[in-house]
Amino acid sequence: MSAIANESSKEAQEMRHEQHSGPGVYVIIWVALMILTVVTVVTGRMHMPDWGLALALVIASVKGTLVALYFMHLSEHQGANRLVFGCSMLFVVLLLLFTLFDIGTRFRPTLAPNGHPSQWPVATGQSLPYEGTQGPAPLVPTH
Amino acid sequence: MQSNAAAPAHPAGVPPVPQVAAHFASLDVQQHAARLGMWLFLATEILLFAGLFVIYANYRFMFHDGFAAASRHLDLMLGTVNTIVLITSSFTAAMAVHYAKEAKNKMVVVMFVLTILMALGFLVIKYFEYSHKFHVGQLPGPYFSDPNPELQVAGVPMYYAIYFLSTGLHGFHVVIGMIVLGWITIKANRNEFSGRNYTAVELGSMYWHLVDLVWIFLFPMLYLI
Repeated sequence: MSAIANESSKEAQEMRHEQHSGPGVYVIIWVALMILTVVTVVTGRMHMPDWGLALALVIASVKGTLVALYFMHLSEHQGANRLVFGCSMLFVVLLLLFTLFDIGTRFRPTLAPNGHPSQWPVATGQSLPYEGTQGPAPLVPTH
Repeated sequence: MQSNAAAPAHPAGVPPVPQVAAHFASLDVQQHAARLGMWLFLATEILLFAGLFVIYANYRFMFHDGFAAASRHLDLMLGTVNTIVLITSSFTAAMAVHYAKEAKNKMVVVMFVLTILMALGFLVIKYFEYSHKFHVGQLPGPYFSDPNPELQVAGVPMYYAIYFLSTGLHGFHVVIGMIVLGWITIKANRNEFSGRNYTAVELGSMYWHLVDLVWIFLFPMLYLI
């Protein structure tokens, strides 16, 4: 056999004793996912006003974590896989947060005319020239 | 990766020995590299869907009432059944990996055929949901034509645009997953997998778990608000 990369030899020494979960774990995870599905449907039907979606997303995150850790074997594999998955999750959160910060602090003419929130500006600590509930003065004269 | 194409014809019932590429020190390292490559690919898939999640989050912030009204016109029953079908298919895909490691190729075939059948069931249920929406005119953007007074709220056509985009992209992934799993099922039927050679089964089922993972988030976002 010809040239083996040095990193690969080193890794081979470090890779002993990888364990794999068996059908028992899969059954437990499957049952847990089923129960969480029922829970999220029941709580979703209550149509809770403010934190209903937040609760649903927390339950979804728990379910997603179970799938990633046990069905996708992330719990028993080595660092690099977790790093890749963790990084992608981090960037999803960054993408979500920063666009929401943007849309939540915009001034009204850049948003849909009949959208929410109806009170403008959103409390951001800034003073904006487009205050009040009547909506902004048109940017272009309408006559 | 395995190089079964180059391997000579092997006697029936004996799994082919996987070949280790020259630059890998051991089969373990080679499998680890394959797995890492799959995770990198899945990371790009996650970010692809994240774009749709961000669109959803922003428009829901703007059109809170419209999204709530439109969401209540989805069939929660069909959505829940689809969630259960997809989670169960994910479970059978995980079991296929377990059997592949034990060289029980017959059971790998059974598990993947079950998975593909459930995927088909998912798509059939989706077809009924879509055809109902087409029928009543709950369509994206300018094509929205449902006269129901409860749906004459700002943001409802936008909700249906996001609904069809995200479930459509997800359905496309379901179809690709069925093709991938079908191909691996054929390989399992040829008795190709064993404790030393199950990378294809593992990576194929990882793809299927991702399809499940995406639906786990789409379901509450679309059906439960």
